[in-house]
Amino acid sequence: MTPAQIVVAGGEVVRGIALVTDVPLSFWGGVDPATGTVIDQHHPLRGKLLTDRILILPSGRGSCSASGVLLEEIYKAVHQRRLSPTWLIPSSASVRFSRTSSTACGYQCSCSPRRIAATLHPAIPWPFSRTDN
Amino acid sequence: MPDPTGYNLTLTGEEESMLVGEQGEAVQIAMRILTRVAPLYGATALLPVTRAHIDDCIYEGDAGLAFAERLATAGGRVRVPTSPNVISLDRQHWRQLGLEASYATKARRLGQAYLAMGATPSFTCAPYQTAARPVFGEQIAWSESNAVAFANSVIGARTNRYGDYLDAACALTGRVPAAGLHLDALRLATVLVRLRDVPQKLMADDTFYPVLGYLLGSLVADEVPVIEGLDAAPDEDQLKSLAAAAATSGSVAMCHIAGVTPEAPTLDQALGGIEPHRSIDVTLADLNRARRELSTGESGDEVGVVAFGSPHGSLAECRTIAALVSGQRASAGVEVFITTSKAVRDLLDRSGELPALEAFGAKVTSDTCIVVSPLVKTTGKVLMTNSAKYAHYGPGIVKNRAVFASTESCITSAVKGRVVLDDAGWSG
Repeated sequence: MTPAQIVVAGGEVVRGIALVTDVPLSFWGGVDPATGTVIDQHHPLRGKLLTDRILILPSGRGSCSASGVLLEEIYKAVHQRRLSPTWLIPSSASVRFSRTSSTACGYQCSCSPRRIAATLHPAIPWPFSRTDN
Repeated sequence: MPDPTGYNLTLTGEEESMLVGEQGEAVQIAMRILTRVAPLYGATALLPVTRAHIDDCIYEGDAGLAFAERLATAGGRVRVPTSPNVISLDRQHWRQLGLEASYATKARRLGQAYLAMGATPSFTCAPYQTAARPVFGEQIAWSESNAVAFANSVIGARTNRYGDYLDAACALTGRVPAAGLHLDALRLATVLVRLRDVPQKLMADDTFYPVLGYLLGSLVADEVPVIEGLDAAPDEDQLKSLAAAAATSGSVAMCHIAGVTPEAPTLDQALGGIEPHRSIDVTLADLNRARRELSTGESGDEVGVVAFGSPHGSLAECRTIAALVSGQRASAGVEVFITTSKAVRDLLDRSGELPALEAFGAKVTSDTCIVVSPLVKTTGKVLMTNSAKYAHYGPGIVKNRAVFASTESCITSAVKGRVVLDDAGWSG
């Protein structure tokens, strides 16, 4: 268990348990969207639960559907008050997952899951309306 | 012109019109997504594209369905010819394949939403082997990791890896961020990968390419590699398996092969005359290590499923299998899947090869595949495949151990009901 403290854009401080890996992870096919568990049998984090963890990783890999899996997590968090993972931090401290890949989360919702998208892409406000919270 | 996005992005009059909602709500939503993501690519402008391939039609849950139906209800129309990726059901045979009706309904609704927005009903992860294939130099907005790697590397079309929802935003606006692999400079190789002491005979083998790709992805992550020393003339299906594997273990969006791929007539041209950031030697031992990592089961294990077609089988690949299985029959305990597009399945039907495959015991599915649709039951028996992508994702998604092997070994194993391997070509 690695305690971590993250200061995000805007100055907010978040504390939690970090999961740290130096191996890129594919969210689609690598994380079970129903449980938040790492299912990639070739990944060092296999079997770990991402729920309520600060995930620190070098980048994504594999599928272009990472954002699809994350959006399902956001949606479930809204409807079932469950969140997984809480924060995603690229260990390069880059705002991008990689030079040539990116994800876009876009669904109108009104509570903390926004933080996932904001953390993936700190420069992106919500796409549906500038005033959505 | 003042910057209407607030993100140092210069828009044309047409793009600004989309952003302020003059072209409807769906286009406005799409342009909002695009203009917020574009700066993260380092873009200061957008670029028009002439086709799109979108991945959002794979059913993951209610959120993706809500997103698609929201855009469709808002009057969304694709602005450029758009091919959808696989969907999560075979539209014709889902009942025979044992899908639950409630799941099938949602999976179908998701596909329908994108068709309602004007996507063509091709539903394949290998759009480059259909009429949707782009040409050299064409600017496109593609999703699906294997298709992106193939389009950039093998065809010389230009796309970044557009993730879910951003790809739809590109299709609805006909625009991408003017950045990354759309630009000349970032298409140059930055990593040199030299093949050392790899037997030439192995380079002619179908199993060589997915293994090389799988190793490559783990070595270079998202950089652009150039492979030197490939003493062979790989066909497109072999390059397809390389690209798919590299985009599985890594996030390779483009890979040059000196003397083979169109932007690498020579090593120097692939590098643009610039020293690579690093050089890596790949030996037969490295390749064998990657090959072993692909298998979580072993020789002699009981086989439950044999799966071909990730990426979707081409007509040539399906014909090869049809010829190999002639006169044989899969063991009663083994399910055989060949996943392909409806276009290829229809051609096989007309040529008489579909009945031959079915006589072997194969289920030839269209529109979908075993990792996006619940076709394979968890049995504890081994999933055997000639695809590095299936072998990698299979154990996680369908919860069966996997064995990667040649097409011939997969067929022999299907008949015997046990894993039978022929690794002779890999011993050096």
